[in-house]
Amino acid sequence: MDTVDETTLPRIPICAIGASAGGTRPLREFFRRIPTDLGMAYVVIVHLAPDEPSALGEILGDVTTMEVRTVFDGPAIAPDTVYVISPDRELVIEGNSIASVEFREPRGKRAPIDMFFRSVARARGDGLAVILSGAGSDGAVGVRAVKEAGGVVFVQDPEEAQFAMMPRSSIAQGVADFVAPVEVLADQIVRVIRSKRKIGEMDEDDAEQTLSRILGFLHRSTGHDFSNYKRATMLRRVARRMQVNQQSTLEDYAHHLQTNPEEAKDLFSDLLISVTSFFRDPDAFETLAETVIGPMLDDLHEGGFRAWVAGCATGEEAYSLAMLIHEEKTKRGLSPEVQIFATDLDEGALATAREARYPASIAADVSDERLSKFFVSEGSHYRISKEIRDTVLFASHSVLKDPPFMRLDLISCRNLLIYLDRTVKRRVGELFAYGLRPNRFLFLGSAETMDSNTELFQPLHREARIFQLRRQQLRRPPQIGGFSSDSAMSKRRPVSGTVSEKQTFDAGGHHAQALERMAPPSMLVDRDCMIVHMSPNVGQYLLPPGGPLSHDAGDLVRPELRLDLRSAVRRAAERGQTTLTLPVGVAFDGGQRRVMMHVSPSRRKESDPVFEVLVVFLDGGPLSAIPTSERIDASDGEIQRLRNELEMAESHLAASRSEYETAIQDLRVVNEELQSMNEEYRSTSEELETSKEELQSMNEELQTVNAELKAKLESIGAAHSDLENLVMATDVGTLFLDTSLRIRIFTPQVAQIFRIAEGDIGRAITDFTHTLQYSGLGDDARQVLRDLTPVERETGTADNRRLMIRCRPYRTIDDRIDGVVFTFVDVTAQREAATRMRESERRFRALVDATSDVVFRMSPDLRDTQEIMGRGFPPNADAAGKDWVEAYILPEERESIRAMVEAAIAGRTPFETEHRVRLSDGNIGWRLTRAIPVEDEEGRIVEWFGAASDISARRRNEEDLRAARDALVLATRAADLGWGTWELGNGRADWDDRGREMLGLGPDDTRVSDWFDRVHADDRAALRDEIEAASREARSFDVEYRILRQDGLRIIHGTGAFTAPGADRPPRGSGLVRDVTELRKWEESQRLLVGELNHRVKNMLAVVQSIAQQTRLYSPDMDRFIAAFSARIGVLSEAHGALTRRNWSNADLRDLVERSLFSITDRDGGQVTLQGPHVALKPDAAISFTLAIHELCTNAVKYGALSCREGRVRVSWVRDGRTLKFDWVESDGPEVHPPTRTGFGSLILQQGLAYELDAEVDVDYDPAGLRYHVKLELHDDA
Amino acid sequence: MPDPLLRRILIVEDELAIAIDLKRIVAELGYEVAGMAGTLSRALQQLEDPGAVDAVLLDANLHGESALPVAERLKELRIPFAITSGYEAEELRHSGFPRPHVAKPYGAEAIGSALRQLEGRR
Repeated sequence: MDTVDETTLPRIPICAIGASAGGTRPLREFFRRIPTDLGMAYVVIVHLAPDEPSALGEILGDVTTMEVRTVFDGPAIAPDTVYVISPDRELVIEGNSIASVEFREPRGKRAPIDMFFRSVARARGDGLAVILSGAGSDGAVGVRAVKEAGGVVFVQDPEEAQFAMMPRSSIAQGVADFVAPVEVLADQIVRVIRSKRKIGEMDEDDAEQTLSRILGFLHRSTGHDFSNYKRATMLRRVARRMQVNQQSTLEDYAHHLQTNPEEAKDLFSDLLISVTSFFRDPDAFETLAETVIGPMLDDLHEGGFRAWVAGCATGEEAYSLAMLIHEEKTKRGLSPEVQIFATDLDEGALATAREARYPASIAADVSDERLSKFFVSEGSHYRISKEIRDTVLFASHSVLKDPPFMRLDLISCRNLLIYLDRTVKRRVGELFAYGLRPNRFLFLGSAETMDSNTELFQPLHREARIFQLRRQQLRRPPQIGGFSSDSAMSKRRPVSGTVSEKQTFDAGGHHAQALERMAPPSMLVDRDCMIVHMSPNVGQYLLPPGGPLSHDAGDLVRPELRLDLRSAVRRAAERGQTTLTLPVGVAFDGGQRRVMMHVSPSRRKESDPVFEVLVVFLDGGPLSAIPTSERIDASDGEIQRLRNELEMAESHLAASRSEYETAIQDLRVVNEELQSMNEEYRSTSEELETSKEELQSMNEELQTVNAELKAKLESIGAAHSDLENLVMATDVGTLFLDTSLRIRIFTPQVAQIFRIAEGDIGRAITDFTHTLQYSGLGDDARQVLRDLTPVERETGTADNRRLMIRCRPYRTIDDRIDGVVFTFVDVTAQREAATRMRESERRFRALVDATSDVVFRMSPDLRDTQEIMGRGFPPNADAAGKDWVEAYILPEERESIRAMVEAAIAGRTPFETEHRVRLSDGNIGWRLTRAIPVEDEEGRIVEWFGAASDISARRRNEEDLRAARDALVLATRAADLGWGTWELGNGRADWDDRGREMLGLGPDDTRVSDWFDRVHADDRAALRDEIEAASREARSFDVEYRILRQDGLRIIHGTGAFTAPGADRPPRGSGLVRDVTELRKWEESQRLLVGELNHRVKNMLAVVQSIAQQTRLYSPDMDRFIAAFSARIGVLSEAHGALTRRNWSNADLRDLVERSLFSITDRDGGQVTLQGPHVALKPDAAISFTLAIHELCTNAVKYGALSCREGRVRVSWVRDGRTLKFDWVESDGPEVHPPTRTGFGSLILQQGLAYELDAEVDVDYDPAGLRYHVKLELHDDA
Repeated sequence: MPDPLLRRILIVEDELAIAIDLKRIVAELGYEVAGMAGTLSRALQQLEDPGAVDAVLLDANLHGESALPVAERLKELRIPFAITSGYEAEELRHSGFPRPHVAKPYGAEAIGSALRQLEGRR
């Protein structure tokens, strides 16, 4: 156990609470119920995500009035305060404050609950540990530590917990004091705390006595004696039980203990609680491995490595040691036998150790390497690997009570001795020394030493607490089981001696002292006759024998008294009777004296079952001091006789006593011999053991050999049966003969040839008849035996089979000729096959001769002709073996033929092509050549087999046909005609390219229906009917229909004819199509043009009619009418001429003006000036303008500027966008008078343009000259 | 004598010469000339006061444009009209003009018969 940190500060009890998954609810419940005045500090440890803030503080603050603090730095512990762990930190107790430190373990291995609980146990000794809901096993190691340190452990009922794993793990540790729902736990804590407070006020001295009583009771009820354990430890543990049971005084508890048998068990197991962990004090373990285990493994005796872990508790230390040994062993490549005994008193702890399953939080103590090597992960737990587990043997065993293990190399006894007081520790040291081999080692806990046994052990490594057994140690069995409670107590409290000496005024003490001085010599022995105490004057009665010093009174007293003493002590011890022995003569230095012994049981208390035995030696005076004669005076003869007899008897007795002593001595010798014999037997036994093992190994070997032989036999059997089956399966008759031609073995097939049976083996083969048509077998055999060369022969049999007979010498494995072997192979089938093949070949020859084709074989590269059969290719084919391409193919075609050859070889595909050949007469012929590759099994081409046909005539016909067709195509193309043929029976239609194009057919449209589908729906039925009718009636047809093409609707004109069906062929049609779309369009526009012309002519006639009518109205006579009418018609004609020149689309204004003006005046006269751009006028505007300008001219010539030579006319026009401004200005002519009456001319002038063209017209009859202005909107884009 | 209800005749004719002569014929036939229009727009302008026109003589083609819009408008106004054109009757019907037609060139008899036909239609 670790030392407890003593501080002078008032110690505030700590209640450490561990929770995890599902823990918030119970935590709230807990703090809601717990009173706020218990004076405790509550530390809440939960598993928090490292990088997220925690709200646990606030959550708990809601349910308790106590201060809730999240621990970031080390606050001093204050009562009635709740401390909450902060994320990514772990808490430890440091002095009187809580420190928050960085995790030392990586994530995933962290066990903050364990860490804090252990810290509480280390720093405070006691404390309260509470485990609430959570997954995993964190806290399980910690609660054990708390409990060991005297704390109380509370665990939430797993039934209630949302996650039961953490509570279950803690309960599995066997240290939970309370398992209950949270609310009950809170109440329990209140009670525990209250009783703890009272216990704190307990009086130490009173406690001591009561504790002794408690331990005494425990000794009686469990058989285990804890009186040798340190008082302080015991008291703390008992106090813990008191808290748990809410007993406030030791007296009360002692009473509770006596009335509750269960409590004794609980107390016992609590006293045994010890904290242990894997590799506790890692440095010490490391030193142990280096300085002890390693060297020891190097220097190992036959028995292997034996170690004893005394006080192993839950086994961690034993397994740690096993792992160390395994590591060292592996490092050295050794595999000695390793046996570790691990013992403890606590059966519960042993059960845990045996299960070898530990919470995952042990990862804090065990390195990753060891974890992976020696443990198997089982989720929340690790299990020790079988290899390690098997080296440790767990046993319930008391170091103090039971005999020790022997011949050990290492004893590990850590943290057990600290519980024991010095005397017991010393004896345990002796015991360990006894159990160890010479020079072997003892490994103690960090606070323990072997100072009390320095004569036995020397320190090897002080820091690591490793001790070595000294070389010259005394091999004496130590006392075992001699630690009675009373004796130990008396030693610790030596009341009788020293204390009484100081109290000289005590009369009782003085009396006792005086009595002791005056009283006869005495001694106090225990039931086993061991001396407990002696009076000072008893020495004369003792005569220790030789050999090691013994406490046994039976050995120590003078020999004469030994027998009587033993029997008397036994009587006293067993029956409680007091004995006064008969006087025995004892030889002292001063002579013989009579001695009697008064032996009485002596109890300390009446009720005490344990008692000692008081032996008082009484001196009966010197034996010789009673003279025989003095005693005779009052006697007669009878007395004298009796006295004599008595003397005789006494001398007999003395003789028999000495004989007895001698016998005892002899027995001792015999015993010694027996022991040595026993030893011999033991060694013999070991030898026998060894022999047995040898025998076993020999047995193993024999079994192996046997198995091998069996396997061989099986394989021979298999081979034999294979051979049997081979003989039966092959259809080859086989006959073995010896050198004298006697039968040795034959197969069933031979029996068909020779009349032999199984029983004929050993008889000469020549004695048997056979079915062969050959009778020289015997001679053959003899010839083979002579020449040693095989003989082969083929012959027929009586049943028409053909046999191949082969005769070979029979050679043994050692190459000796020991007969002959005949094999008879039935070759009938082969012979028949050969015959059939010859037949087939003959037929093939005939076929080749009959055909006109040439048949050939060629080399694998399809180059050299190997054989040519048949006729006609080529006429000069005398050249087998030549490169046929060179020989026959035209130079310009050789390249392509070779390429084809290569492709055929590469692809292993048939070679087939039509090609030209140069014939011997210099002409060119055509051949069809086909060749097929012949492949071997690996797929390689072995040769080519082929044929060539003369196709010259066919090619010629084809070419003629093609020429005729080409001519036809050319003709239709020239006429832009499409051409097609149709067969309605199978619906096929073939069109040439132009035909397809016209009909909008694709390359795949080869059906008559495809043609019809392209036809406009309105025309389709009529076309189909006509075509079908023509086909039916075998006549010609002439149709026109529309085709819907992608580029629009086309009009097709088609003509064709159908032939009459023949006997063997259906009616076929053929014909031409022509695209007449453009033609029809032209015809249509022509028709429209004629209509338009008709309209214009009629319109013009109407105009002429009107002009004639109007002109007539204003003409005074016929001549004038004719002149005016002619002039107007002439102008109209001019305008029409101008329009016709421009295809009746428009007329140029300037052109119109010039024509009108210069028809009446001289262009070069200089009287007229024209100025203006070309302006295109639409036909109507042109005619209206022409009529108006005509009237202006006529008027000017008659009355205006052009009527005299001086007059001038300026004609000008401008165009501004769509607006045309036209000005006619006359000057320098005769004076102008406005017309007095309106004629047709002035009507036209004034209204024509305005009426017909919506123009603005202004006629100004200015006396200086006529002005005529026109403003006109042009409506066209001309 | 003409029907007093069908007295005022509108002349729609693009050729001034023909229009003037038609005006003389219509007048000689005893009708009143309500107006003369040489263009499409003028013709529609004249019809803005429908009450002033009792019947119309309509040239089918005005400066190369169809006079159909005027014909449609007249149908809407329920004013009877006769088509005067150089086109054959077939073509006119094809272009959407209704009867009666007066084929150009025409004399006074043809106009008179057409106008009487219009009277009968009323």
